[in-house]
Amino acid sequence: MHDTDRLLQQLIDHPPHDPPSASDPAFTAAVFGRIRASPAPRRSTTQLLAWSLAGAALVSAALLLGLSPTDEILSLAAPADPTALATLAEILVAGMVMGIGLLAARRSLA
Amino acid sequence: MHTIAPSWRDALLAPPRPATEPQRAMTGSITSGTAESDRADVERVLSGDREHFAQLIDRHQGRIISHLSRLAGRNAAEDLAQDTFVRAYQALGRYDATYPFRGWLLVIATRLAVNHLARRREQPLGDGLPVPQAEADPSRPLSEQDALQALTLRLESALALLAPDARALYEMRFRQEMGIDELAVHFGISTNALKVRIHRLRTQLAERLGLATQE
Repeated sequence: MHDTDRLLQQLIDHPPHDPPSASDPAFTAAVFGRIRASPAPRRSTTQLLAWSLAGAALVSAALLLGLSPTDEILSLAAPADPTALATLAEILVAGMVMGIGLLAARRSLA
Repeated sequence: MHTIAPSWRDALLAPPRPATEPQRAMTGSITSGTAESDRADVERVLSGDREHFAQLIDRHQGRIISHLSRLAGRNAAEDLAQDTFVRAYQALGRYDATYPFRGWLLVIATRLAVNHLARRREQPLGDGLPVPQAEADPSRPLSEQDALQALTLRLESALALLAPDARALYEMRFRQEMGIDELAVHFGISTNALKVRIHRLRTQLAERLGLATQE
């Protein structure tokens, strides 16, 4: 293959990069002007679910170890009958409440 | 045909060497430090520190605007870049930190550029290209810079004839050096399907440049 052809083939695979450019504060300000009118970004449902499941795992582990969650959590999770917390569904509900609480606490502390 | 200075020819044909840190900074390759800073900034914004998004804008605006200039033209690039960052901010909760933030931004920017061109039904690709200089005197030996510019213009002319989505794929894969796996995830296709597309793209470009295709 001719040298020029080989060079062109190389250029296809490795085109020149754009030269670096300094950031423009006016551009950043313009974007921020639009962002301030937008709602704050939220973690996705998947992330919320992951936090909830993590909370559920914590509560389950606590119960397995014979520890009892505080009355406040019990009353939030199953206000009608705290003693029925042994069922899996209630453990999950308590865990989700705890997970969302953990997430909220993390956000407020960050 | 002009002869090309051997030193430049040899440099381009030599096997790629690992980039040094300053070279990476110049070419914009993603360093682990940049990726770490990006992840930390995203985390802070999601935790409620909205102002930290400015760090991400400052770090990536130059590359995003250059990318959009190539895809949609200089005139539209800045508006599209603003849209890119606003969309990224609004969708930040869905960003998967497994992949580089820059790649995610590039995908958002590319989609906006392709949609923009589809709406306008025109292809202003190429107005971000280097301005061709007057025909060189063939008796004058070409400098390395002249030779590189001539070949680059040939490539840019061939790129300008590609469909917008094919051009976008080329820019992301080859100029921005996004990984196959990352691109496949962003576009929701298998890596094999993406490799086939890239192979077709290279073949198409080689044909347009009058090169013998390599198998």
